Amino acid sequence: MIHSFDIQLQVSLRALEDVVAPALSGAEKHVVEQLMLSIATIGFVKARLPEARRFYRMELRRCIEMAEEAGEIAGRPELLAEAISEGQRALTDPEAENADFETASRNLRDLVTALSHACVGLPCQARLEAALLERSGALVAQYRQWCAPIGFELDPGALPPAAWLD
Amino acid sequence: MVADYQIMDEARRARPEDADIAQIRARYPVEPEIDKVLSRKMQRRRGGEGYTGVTLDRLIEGTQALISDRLGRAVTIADARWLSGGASKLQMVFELSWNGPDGGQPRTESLVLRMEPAASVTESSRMREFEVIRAVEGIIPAPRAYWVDPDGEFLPYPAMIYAFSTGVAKPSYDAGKVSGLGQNYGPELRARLAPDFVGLLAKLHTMDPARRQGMEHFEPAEEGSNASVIRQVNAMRRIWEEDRIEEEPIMEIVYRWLVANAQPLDHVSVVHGDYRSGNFLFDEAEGSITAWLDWEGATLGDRHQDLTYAVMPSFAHFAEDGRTLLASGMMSEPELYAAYEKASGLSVDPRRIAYFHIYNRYLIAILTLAAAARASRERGTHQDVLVNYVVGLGYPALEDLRDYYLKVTA
Repeated sequence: MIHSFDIQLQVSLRALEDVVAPALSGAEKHVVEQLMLSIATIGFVKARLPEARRFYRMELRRCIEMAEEAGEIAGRPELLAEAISEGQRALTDPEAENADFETASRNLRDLVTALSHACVGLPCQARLEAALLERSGALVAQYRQWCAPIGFELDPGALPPAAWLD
Repeated sequence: MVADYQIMDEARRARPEDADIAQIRARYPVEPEIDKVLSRKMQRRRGGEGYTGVTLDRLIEGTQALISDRLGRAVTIADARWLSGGASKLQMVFELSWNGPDGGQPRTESLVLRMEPAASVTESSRMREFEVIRAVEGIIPAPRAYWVDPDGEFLPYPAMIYAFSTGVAKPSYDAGKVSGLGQNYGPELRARLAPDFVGLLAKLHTMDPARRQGMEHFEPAEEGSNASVIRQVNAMRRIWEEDRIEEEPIMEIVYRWLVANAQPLDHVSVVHGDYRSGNFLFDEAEGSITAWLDWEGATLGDRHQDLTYAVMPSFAHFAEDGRTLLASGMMSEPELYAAYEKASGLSVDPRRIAYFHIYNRYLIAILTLAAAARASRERGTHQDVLVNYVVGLGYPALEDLRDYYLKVTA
C-alpha cells in the first residue's frame, strides 16, 4: 500500500502553501490567518506523526514511575497498584494502540492527583508534593519538546533531548 | 479515593449532567455572574452542537433589532464588515446614523458589535464588560459602550455594542528584531507610551469608589478580607475542573497554595485583568494611548494582579542592549513598579507581587491547557484552528508556573 500518511500530508501542504495561499493574498485578514495556522498545524502533525507511538509509550512509562513513587511516599501503594498494572500490560502488549497508552497515562494522572489531595495535612504531604513537582517538571519539559515544531519556544535548543527517541 | 476527589470523568466533562454542574458549583464558589456564565457554558456543551457559523446578514439583523429595541425606533445600519483581531470574540464594525446617546445633532458613527461564540478561551460576561467600560468612562480611554444583549435575546449569542476607537495596536514601522514574544514598540515610541501605560493603570486602581455604583454584576470586595481573591482563584479552579483534557498534579498543588496564601486586600481596585501590550490602541504621531480594550476579565480586587500580569514574560522582550527585559515592551519590572508607586500613591508589596506572579501563571496555564483546548475540541468557536494553536503555549506556561512556584516556596 503506497498511500502513506506522510505523503498525504505532504501533498496537502504543498497545495495549501503553493496554490491556495497565493490565491488568497487579497482575502480578509482572518481568512489568511486561518489558512496559515492550518498549514502550521498540518506541518506539526507531519513532523510528529511518525514518532507518536514512541512518545505515548515514553509518557506512560514516566506516569508509571511517578505513580510508583507517589504510592510509596504516601504509604498507600495498593491504591495505585491496579492502574500501574494496567499501564504495564499496555506497554507489553504488542497490539496496544496509542489510545490505550494515553488512557492508561491519564488514569494514572487522575489517581496521583487524587492521592496528593488525600494527603493534605498528613506528614507525607510535603514530600509527595516535592516528588510530583519534580517528576511532572521532567514530563512537562518533554511536552515542550514535543510541541516545539509549533513554534512557541524561544530557544528550542535549550530543551532537554526528546526522551521518546531514546 | 478518586471518587472523593474527581467530580466527573472525560465523558461527563464533554457532556455534563445537572448533578456534575451542581457539584462543581458547590465545591468552587464564585461570584454570581461568573457562576451564571460558567454554568451556561456547561449547559451549552451538553447540547453538543458546537459553534454554527453566523453570517454577516444574521448579525446585521440582530444588531438592528437590538438597537431599535433600545432606542424605541427602527434603525438601519450600513457598511457592516468583519473586524479581525482577538482570539475569543466575533466582531463586526458598522455605521449607524442616529442622534447620539443624548439626542443631539444627526450624525453617522462607526460602531462595533462584539459577540461571544459558543465557547471561548475566556468565557466571560458581556454585562460585566459593559458595566466596567461605563464605570471608567472619562477616566480611562476606552470604547464608549452603548448597548448590551446579555443573554442573546437579539443576537445568536450574548453581545455588546460600543463605539469604534481610533488608533493602532502596532507601530506602522518595523521596530527591529528583538528577543522575546511581546510587542516591540521601538525606543522612541516606547518612551512616549510608557508614561500613559503606567499612569492609566494608576488612575484605574485609584478611581473613586463611587464610580463603581453601576457595576451591579460585580460582587463587592472588602479591604481586610481575602474573600474576593479566593473567589477568583476558585473561578480558575472551576474552569480547570470543567474544561481540562487531562489532570496535571502541579495544578492541584498550586491551587491549594493560592487558597492558603491569599492576602487580605489593603485597597480595593477595579482590576482590568488583561493589562498588557497589545491590548490598547494608540496614536502613533501623538505617542498616546487612545483606548484600552478587552475589559471582559475585569474584577474588583488587588492591584498587584494587573501589575504582575503586565510584566509576564509572554508580553516582554529584551531591549536593544540585549539584557534589559522590558515589561509589556515599556520598561523593566523594577522601573514599572517604581513609576506606578509614584503615579498612584499606592505601595507595591513584594509579598503580594510574588503571590500574583503565581496567580497569573496559574491563570495562563488554565486558559491554554484547559479552556482553549476544550473550546476547540468541542468545535465551539469561529476560529478553532487559532484557539487550538494557542494550546501550544500551555506547556511553556505550565513549566513557567512550576518554576516560579518552586522559587517562591523554596
